Amino acid sequence: MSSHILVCPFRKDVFTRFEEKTFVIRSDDPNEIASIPQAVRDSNNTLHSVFLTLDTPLSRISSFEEWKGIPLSLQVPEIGDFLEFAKRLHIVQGLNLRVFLPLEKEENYLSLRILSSLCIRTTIVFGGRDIDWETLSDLVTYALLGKVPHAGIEPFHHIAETYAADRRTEIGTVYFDDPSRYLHLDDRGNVSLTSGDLSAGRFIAESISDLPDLENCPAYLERLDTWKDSLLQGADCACCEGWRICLGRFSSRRNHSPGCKRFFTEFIELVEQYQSMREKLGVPCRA
Amino acid sequence: MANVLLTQRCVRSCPYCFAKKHISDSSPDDLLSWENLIYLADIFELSGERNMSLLGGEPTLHPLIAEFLVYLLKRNFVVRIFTSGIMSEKTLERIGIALDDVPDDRVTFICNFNEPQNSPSSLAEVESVKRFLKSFGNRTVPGFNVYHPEFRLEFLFDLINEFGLKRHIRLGVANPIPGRNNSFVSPEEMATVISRIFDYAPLFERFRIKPGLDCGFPLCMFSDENLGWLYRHTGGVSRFGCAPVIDIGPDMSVWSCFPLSSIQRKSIFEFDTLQDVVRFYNRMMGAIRMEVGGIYEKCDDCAFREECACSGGCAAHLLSRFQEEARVRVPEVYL
Repeated sequence: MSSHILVCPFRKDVFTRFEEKTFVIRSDDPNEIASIPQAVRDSNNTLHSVFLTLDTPLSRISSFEEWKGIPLSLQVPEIGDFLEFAKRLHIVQGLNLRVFLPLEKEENYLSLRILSSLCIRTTIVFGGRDIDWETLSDLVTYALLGKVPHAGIEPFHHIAETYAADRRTEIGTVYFDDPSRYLHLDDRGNVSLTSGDLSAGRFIAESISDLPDLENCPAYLERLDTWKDSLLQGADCACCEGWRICLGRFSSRRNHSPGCKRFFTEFIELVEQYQSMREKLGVPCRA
Repeated sequence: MANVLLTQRCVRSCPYCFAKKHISDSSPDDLLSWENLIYLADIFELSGERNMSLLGGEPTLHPLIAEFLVYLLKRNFVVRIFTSGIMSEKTLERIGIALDDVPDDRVTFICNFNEPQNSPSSLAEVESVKRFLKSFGNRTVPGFNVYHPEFRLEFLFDLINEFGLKRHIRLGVANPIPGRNNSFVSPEEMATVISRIFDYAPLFERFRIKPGLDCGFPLCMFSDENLGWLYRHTGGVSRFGCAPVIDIGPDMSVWSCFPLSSIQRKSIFEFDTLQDVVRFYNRMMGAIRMEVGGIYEKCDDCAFREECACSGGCAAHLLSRFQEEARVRVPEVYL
């Protein structure tokens, strides 16, 4: 069996079927988070991260203290009342936490910057709404060239660290959604290659044990090649300089052009500037 | 400590207002944005500056004053807020939430007062200031700007005692704003003003309140006896300089200080650090002082000035004078 990290709901009957595997546990119940690490350890598996999705703003979460030491990815709709949130900031800053904020809410462009400047790691969730490319461009400039140390804003930092001009850059990793690293299980153990496939009920096997040779599984190999789609379809993205980063991911959006092209082209320039700065500082990027 | 203006709006119209020229040249709708506050916090931090003063207009009119305050505290800044104390109950309450559990030395208010007899306020304004002082008196230093020689300070001693304010009075002297008709203390009135300040020496001593002199006072106008008293009662911290303060507007424009806000205004984005800004405006000040040494003719060959013990009064007096002469000086000194 492959060394993929398995993403599954917090169902003991799912992850206790395995041993010595690494898990991302999905949950939407803040009260069960504290018990997840022990449950995963008891089943002789390793916890990579807990992915908690909540409908409540960050400012209304009161259980931060119970989450100390747990690698936690927390998706919330917004920060909420900043004064309220600030009261718990010192606890939040001490957590192994990454906050996922959707761009569905316009205010989150700013919230990402505020959290980052307060040393809280964040990840952008692009969602379905049109993207404000200009504001996003300001945000990536801050993320990569901000004057003082601040927490990373993903996927910008991942791209800046791993980008190389001669190969593709995969951003799905920061969303636990990269088929070359993660497999998704539903509560019955059915296997999907991405979270989107899982939601749509598209499975490649009924159980991981049905995939002894994943690297040669046709569906898997086909999925790994989906980056070629926009090139084969001859879409605008095929001749865009920024494609090396976006891989045509935003081509289906209403406002993807020309803002998208300008954004990703500038992004590459920023990444090159970032990497050359890191090189000068003697801290070369992973690329 | 550089100053950051959160808004141009103000609830008062003081006759001496040193921000008058700047405010009239700017849009009253300018409000400092979150993004720009973060940028400024970054540039302050990069410059090693951990103190930030928030000004206006009236900074508490900014709708995000409480959020900004908390943010700066979380970024480990020490914050001073220059206010009139006139604010809505809601703003006062939000600031109260922001300052809950924050040590007194992390946030100080400089509350500027005008003489009640010369600048009568409405009952609502008086009540608002009293509410503010009841809530934050322990964090508040009273400030007073002298703009005529017949000023009276008794009411400040009363306020300090009634509301438990910090036992310190910040005394500024109003300077001319080139291009505006504001009230100010002329060089000829300076000796009278200083003498009047020292008329209050017994009250300062009796109530154990320390005076603090803002910039623009010329050293030569103080007698040795005055200087001795100041040394004894201020711990020797009085300075007689005129140097760039550095004010940053809500639109991120930057200038040396309010009286000089009309000349050599730049954008903060043109500089990498606050030290770069100070260097730039020091050069500008140098150019002004090369033209005329100070506010008095005797400043040109004054030993105190040569030894940098005094700057020769506020450069705004010189600039105002230059505007009325034939334009024969270096171009930097004209509006």
